[in-house]
Amino acid sequence: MSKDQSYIFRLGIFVTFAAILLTAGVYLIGENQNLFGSTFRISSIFSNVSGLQPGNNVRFGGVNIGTVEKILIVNDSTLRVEMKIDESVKEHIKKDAIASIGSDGLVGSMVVNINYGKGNAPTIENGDILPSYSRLETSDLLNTLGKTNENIAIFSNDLLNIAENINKGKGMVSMLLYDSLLAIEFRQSITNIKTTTAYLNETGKQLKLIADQIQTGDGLLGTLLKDTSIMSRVDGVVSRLEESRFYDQLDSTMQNLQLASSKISGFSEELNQLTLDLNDGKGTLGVILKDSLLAEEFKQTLKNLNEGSVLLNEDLKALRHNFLTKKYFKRLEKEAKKKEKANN
Amino acid sequence: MNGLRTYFLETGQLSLFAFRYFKEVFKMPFETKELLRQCFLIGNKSLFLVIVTGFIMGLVLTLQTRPTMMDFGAEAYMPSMVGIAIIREIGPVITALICAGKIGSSIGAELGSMKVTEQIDAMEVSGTNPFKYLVVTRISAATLMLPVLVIFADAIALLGSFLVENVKGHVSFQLYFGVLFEHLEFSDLNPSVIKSFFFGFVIGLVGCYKGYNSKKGTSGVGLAANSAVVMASMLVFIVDFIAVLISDIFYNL
Repeated sequence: MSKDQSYIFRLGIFVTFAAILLTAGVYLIGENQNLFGSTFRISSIFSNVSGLQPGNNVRFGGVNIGTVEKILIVNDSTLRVEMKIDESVKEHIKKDAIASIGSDGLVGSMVVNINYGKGNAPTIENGDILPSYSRLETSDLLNTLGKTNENIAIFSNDLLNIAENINKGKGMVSMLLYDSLLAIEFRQSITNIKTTTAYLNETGKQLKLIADQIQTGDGLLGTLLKDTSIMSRVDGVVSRLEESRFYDQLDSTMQNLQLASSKISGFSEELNQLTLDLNDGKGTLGVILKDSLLAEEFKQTLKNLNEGSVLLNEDLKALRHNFLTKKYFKRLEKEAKKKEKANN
Repeated sequence: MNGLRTYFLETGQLSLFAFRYFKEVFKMPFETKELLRQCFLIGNKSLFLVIVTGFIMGLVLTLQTRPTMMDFGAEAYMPSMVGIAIIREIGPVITALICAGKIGSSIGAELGSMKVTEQIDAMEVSGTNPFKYLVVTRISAATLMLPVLVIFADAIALLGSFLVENVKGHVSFQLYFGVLFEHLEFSDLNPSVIKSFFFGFVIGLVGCYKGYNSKKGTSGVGLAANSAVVMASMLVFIVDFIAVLISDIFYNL
């Protein structure tokens, strides 16, 4: 190699390396945009693409499988998103897969997500239109959240009022919470209910026993219910009663009873009149019962009598110590002692 | 007033110079051998410089932006963020500025000294078209080589960025470049490659223009080299601005 050509050779190396680098760069960028390698096209219809742009990624189960190629406005409410998908994933996407538009992270660019379908639909083909699912947009989400927040605010306010009322001691709930007496009574009631139910239980058992006895035909009720012969006996008694003119006698007795009761009625009327008179204060008995002045005097008389009897008692004690009568009392005592000795 | 007049005069002369280049570039005969020699001088000889600056830019850019991204908890976005910054802007512009310094000055000085020593006039007398042999080859070489240098610079800068991420964030090679290329699009790569052609064209054009029209005397050579670097650097930014505006129309950046 001559000296003349050596720089050309080095220039060749220089340019070749640059070309390789450029090609590698172009390939790597292009690889992400599916410009090379076999691809196929599918599309999906949306009413809102939320800022999706041609060149955004298409993901299938979170894996980048292609890019958005075109977004066509079909009419006022229909947008057709055409996607270029890597041929190698074709067999995995079924016809019932659902396309939705999502965001790559919180502030990232938009992506088309293709989610697995439910059934076993056939594999997708070139030019197919996938069903789409419009996800809730962030603004819608925030609107709903705003409404919810308002409701929560109102609700919490009400709750606060209720809590305050309870604390102040208003209403049934606060009584339940704070009235210890009520709690005790409540407990007492529960105990009572317990005992009552126990009794009821016992009663039930006995009732069962009685019912059993009735069933078996024991006792009066059992006999009444179960014994058919008793009916004929009752018949017999009735017919005999009829024969013995019992009814006529019963009739006359009833008439007498009626007479007597009318007399009693008259008597009770007179008695009533008498009580009325008494109440009004007529007659001696009435005066005694009703005249309060007389009662006062009577009370006074009784008091005087009481005082008189006390004085008389003192007089009698004095009489016992009098020399004229002393002997008589001493003799009485001696006789009483003698009697006691004789008894013992 | 005088400044404004010289500015318009300069712009007009530069445009004429560019127009003349386009007229000559497609005309037979092609100076292929000289073109390749110039490519070697511009491309290969600048490679080391470009690689070093690119590597350091990638390294430093990652180190500097990393704390802020960590504040946001967005370290996962580091590869894509730094990658897009390098591919879109840092790689082309830094490379263009380095080349404006190295290539622009060398072309300006070379042609200036040739002009001063009247070699260009001698060529014209000998029947060779000096514009075609000297100017067209150099501008073409710069135009062709700058994108190549930009590609190297991008690759090395990304490698430097990866090294920082690997050391500080324990990001594997595969993950780093996987994330990077997931976020890169042709709208990032294409405009930057296309505009580096224009960067190269501007650097070669200004270098050649300043050298070709340098004043007589040895001071003219220095002045030509100096003004070539200043003007080329400024024009690189103007072209970059226009390129971003145009790519915005086509790619909706």
